[in-house]
This record gives sequence, C-alpha cells and structure tokens, in this order.
Amino acid sequence: MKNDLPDLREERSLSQADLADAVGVTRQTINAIERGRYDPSLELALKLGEFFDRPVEKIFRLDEE
Amino acid sequence: MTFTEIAHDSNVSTYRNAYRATWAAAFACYFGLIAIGYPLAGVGTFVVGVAVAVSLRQTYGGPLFDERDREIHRTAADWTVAVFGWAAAVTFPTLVVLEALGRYEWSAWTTTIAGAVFAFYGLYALLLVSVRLRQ
Repeated sequence: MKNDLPDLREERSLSQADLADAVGVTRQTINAIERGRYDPSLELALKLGEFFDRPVEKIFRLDEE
Repeated sequence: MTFTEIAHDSNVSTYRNAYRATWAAAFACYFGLIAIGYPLAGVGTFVVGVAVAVSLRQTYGGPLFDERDREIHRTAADWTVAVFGWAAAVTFPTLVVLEALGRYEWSAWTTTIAGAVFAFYGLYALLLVSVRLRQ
C-alpha cells in the first residue's frame, strides 16, 4: 500500500514521534508505514484517518491504483 | 530525524532493550543456576527477572510495543510452527521406515520427542478450533 502520511505530517509540521504519540504507536511503526514496509491494522488506519480528518481511502491506496 | 525524535527513540530503545535484556538474563540465570546445581536460586532469580521486566513495561509512559511488534511476533511464530511441522513431518516418518527396515532402533528419547511434538500440534489444533469459533 502507498500512503500520504509524510505529506500530511508535513502540512501540519508534525514529526513522526508526534504522530506516533497521537495515535498510540511507536515512532518506528509510523516510519515503517511511511516507507511502505508495514501495512497498519484497520484500527490504526481509522485512527490516522480520524487524526487527519480524512477518509482512510484518501490516505492509503493500493499499489496498483 | 529531529532532536525530539532522536530523544524519543533513544528513550523507547532504552526501555525496549532493558526489557529484552532482563528477559534474556532471567532465562540465562534460570537455566544456568539449575545446571550448576542451584535450582531454587534459579527459579528465584527468574521470578525476580520477570517482575523487573513487567515493571519496566508498566513504568514506561507510552506504548513500548505496538501492533507492528505483535505482527512481527505473529510472523515469527507462523514460521516457527511451519519449520517445526515440516521437520517433524520428514523426521518421524523417516525414522519409522528406517526402524521397519531394521536400520534404526526406536529409543526412549525419540518417543519423548514424538510425544512432545504430538502434544504441541494437539494444542495448536485445539487453539485453531477455539480461535475459529470466536471469529
């Protein structure tokens, strides 16, 4: 999956650690998601969507899209 | 990486490393002390080690381990079960054939290992059914 987390973070001047604290995971997990090495659980994806006030599908998309 | 992120990572890493090292030390003391003839000291040290590890996890303010760590553990567990299963599926039928051909004598320890493998996969099958029923 691809995602827009780095851009969304940058728009809000947030560090990976800030975002990690906000959604209750480690910074390494945010880093792994941004680098496409880890696909978040549905729960975490929904938390990220809620945090950025965006539908999940506007943050994450399948590789072939 | 910003200074805040480095400080944050350093703090998390310290706790995570301390947690893992405590578990490793607890197991090392447990087996080591039992091996050299101090079983009660081994068990006592192990219990203290586990208590320290649990308190380390509790005293850390944020999530020390999260869903990615659980996923990593799950993947490692999947591989362990698969490797163990394939090894058993090759080894034990081979030993049975060799014994039937008179080229191997079934020993007590082989029977113990076979029993342990059977119990392991019996438990696995039970848990599979249990988890499936819940979902």
